[in-house]
Amino acid sequence: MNSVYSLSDKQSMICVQASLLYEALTARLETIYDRLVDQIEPGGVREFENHFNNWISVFLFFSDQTQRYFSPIVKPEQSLSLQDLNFDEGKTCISNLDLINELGMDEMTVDIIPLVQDILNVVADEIGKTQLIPRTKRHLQRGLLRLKTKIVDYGDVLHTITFPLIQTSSIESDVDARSGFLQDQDADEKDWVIEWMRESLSETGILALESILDGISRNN
Amino acid sequence: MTSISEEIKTLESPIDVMYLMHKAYMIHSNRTVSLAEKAMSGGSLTELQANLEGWLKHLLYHAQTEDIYMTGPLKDIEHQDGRRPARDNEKEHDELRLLGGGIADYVEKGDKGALSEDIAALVLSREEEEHANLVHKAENAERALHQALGEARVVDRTRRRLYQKIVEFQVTEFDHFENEEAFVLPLVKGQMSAEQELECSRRLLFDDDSETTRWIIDFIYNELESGERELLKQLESSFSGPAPT
Repeated sequence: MNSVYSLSDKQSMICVQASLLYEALTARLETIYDRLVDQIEPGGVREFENHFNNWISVFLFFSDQTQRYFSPIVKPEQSLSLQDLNFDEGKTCISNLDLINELGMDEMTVDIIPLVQDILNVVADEIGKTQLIPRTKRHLQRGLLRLKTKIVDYGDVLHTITFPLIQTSSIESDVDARSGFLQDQDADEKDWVIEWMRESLSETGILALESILDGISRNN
Repeated sequence: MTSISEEIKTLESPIDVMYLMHKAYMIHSNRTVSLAEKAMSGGSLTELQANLEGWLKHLLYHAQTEDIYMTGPLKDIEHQDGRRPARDNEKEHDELRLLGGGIADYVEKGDKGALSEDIAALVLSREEEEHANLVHKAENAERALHQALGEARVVDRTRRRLYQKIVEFQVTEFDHFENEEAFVLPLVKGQMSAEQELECSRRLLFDDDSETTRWIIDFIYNELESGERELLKQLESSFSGPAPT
């Protein structure tokens, strides 16, 4: 199998893995939302809860991994404040690093947690009920839409600001960057996230994932 | 609750015109949500804005009229769960006004609405800094963020968030209609005479302060099915107001 992404570019490897995991998360969230809106969730609240809980587990893993791998790069020793930013008169010279620090973008996954909790609260109110009544469905739809919007906003920042910054940085652990991002080192089944991604990604996404995994196994 | 897909076949009392009105408003809000969804993939904002303005105008008039002529005169009761239907209804109207006003303000900001909102949140979170200086720096940060994301992403972000706000407004609206039908209409029927109900219904359907007093009822007629229009016509014939056109 030909690799979609070049493994010689070690700086981009971590971004490619993060990007694919992000893609799987957004795709699965879209599916959960569509099934709710189209009322094709035969199992009602319980079915929704199962799918959403799985999504949360992967999202928390993603959040931990981005904190672990990206924070050393996007959080310099000396923290910046708005006052420290240099501005030319009439035009900005804020770098990606300044923007990430100033706008708190490296902590955006933290901002997502309350939105997840709101949805769980709606689900908790429905414990014991098997069918989704229209009001509950509306509230879940509202919660999921807020979550989707936030996640897509976050993805914009990830792809346009964070990744370019990481690609110009030197990553300390080459081995981790190459192989560790998608593996849960604390779990018995280290590849559980990869399995979940295979079920969530589009055909193109799966091809890219397999290509990456193939490349990693050949390089290790 | 009123269902868009089910035809309303009878009005047991004049205030039941609310079911017809709610149905018409729900159809209109569904249409607006659909336009907002299309706008996310490049659809026109002109039609969306016109629908949105109409939606807000109708709901604001409806809420105001209910506060004065429907829940205002009612003697409230308190349910075991603490719900007080009349006062809660007015609070829900306030929430709708707040959300609706927020959407109108957001739309006015144009394609940079989402960025302006993000930066405003940033300014609010930095209370310790001198305000004028902070605003200047925040404007620069907004410009930088705009440059980094690019024009297309900024527009997409703004429209995405507009869609979210419109759906949130619709959810609040539908919840409100549901509460009103379940808790307030029984109070109205229990406390108002037939004449009072009739006058309340007339006020909801006709804007006496407008040059075009029929702008509400004509809108409702347009959204309903033929059998429902006939019900409305029968009710209208019992008002001593302008004749149906």
